[in-house]
Amino acid sequence: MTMDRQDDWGDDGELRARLDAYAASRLEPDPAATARTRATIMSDARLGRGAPRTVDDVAGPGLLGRLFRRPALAAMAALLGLAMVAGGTVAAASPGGPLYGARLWVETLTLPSDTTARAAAELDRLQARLDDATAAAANGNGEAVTAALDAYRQTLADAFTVAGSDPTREARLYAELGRHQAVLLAVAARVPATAAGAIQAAIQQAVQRTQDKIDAIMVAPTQPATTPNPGNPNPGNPGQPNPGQPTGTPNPGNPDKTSKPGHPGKAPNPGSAGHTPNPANPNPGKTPPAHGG
Amino acid sequence: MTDVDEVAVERLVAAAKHGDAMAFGRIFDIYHDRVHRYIVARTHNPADAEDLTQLVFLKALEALPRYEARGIPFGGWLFRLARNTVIDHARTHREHADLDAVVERPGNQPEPGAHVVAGEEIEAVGQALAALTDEQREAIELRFFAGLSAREAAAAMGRQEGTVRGLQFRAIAALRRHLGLAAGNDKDRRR
Repeated sequence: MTMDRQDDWGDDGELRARLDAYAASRLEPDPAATARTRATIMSDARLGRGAPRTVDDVAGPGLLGRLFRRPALAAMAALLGLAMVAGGTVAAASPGGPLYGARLWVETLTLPSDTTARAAAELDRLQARLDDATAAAANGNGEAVTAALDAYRQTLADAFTVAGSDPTREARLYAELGRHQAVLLAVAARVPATAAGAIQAAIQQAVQRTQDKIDAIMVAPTQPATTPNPGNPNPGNPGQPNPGQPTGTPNPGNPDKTSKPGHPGKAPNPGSAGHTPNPANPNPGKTPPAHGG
Repeated sequence: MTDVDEVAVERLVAAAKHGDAMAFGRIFDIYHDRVHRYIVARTHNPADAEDLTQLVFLKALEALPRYEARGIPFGGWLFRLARNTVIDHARTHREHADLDAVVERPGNQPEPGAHVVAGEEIEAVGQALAALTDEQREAIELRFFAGLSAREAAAAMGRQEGTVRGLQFRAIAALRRHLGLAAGNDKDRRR
């Protein structure tokens, strides 16, 4: 549990332990639900959308009226809208739809030319693909999950290219990938069997590239890593990355996982990527090369 | 907030106010579970809590450009939004605001046959929480389950910080009585 204020709780360990157990049993969110919520929130955040007025609106479709708050987004949306009209349906631009590729292409047109800004934009695009996959998985649409994850892998390759060898950009990318792995695993638990291969490949690619960097740091201990590991507060232990904490901030969303009773069968929590075992890569040092990137 | 780097959060908030979606994503990652725990504890309905938690973050996204710290920490501001969202929801969905339903909730029970004693203890905690006054219970929910500081909890509840500490103190004493725990060092907890 998050509460560790000794000034308020003194040595009242027994009561705290019982409240911890209660919270772990009754109050923890479902990781898959968290991933769904995050996908929705990030979709709105990228589009500059506002809030619905009631909880009933949350589950409801259609927030397109708020799309046109920003001129740049409106222009992009208009372009995409024209394409969708030509295609005959909004769904055509969804993952797996005939205009999904066009939508991705439009995105690339709006990427900034400045390398740092472009690297950040690529991270946004990665998150968008992840959100596409999460939403598709929630709908049980295996074809859409596959399309979104194929796009994710392509975007990941672009992101690595843009990150280049700049330590800051690389560090941020690796931090993102650490979190993505956990989300992908949560998605994997929901996808139809037809999409299992695609999600495995996406996880593999994210894992492999991250692990390569970690291995490079470990085999050259005499040379301080040129790439900082932002999630690892212990510089003397570079082999224990904590990609869920890219800003050096502890992960307060799940600060006390180790102190809680077990959650049998519970899927990994996207918010605690740094503590999530990686079943896709049980032996990272022997992971085969990634494909498709 | 104990586990939150408030300076880092303020940086994220500043970036998010200028449209940085990634920064808002980070804010979501930091606070989502906390907000969810608070809302589940308030509503006793995980399904509603999921929707309400999403609504809170959508509202935060909309209201963030108007957020100014002015002595109110971001966590307090966010949980004020959460609190108001729960109150609004309770007004229109009275059946979901049944505070006596804290004990028996499907889907959150321990697995059959596993940790029976622990399950009974958890149930006892639920009953002890239900026996608190609403304000005492909310103080525990904000301070313990959501991990807010007394200052943040006070901002969320619209009360003085000392008032929140007093509510917490009395809540702890009541919980200990209900759970049959030996009287602890109250002086320590009152600091």
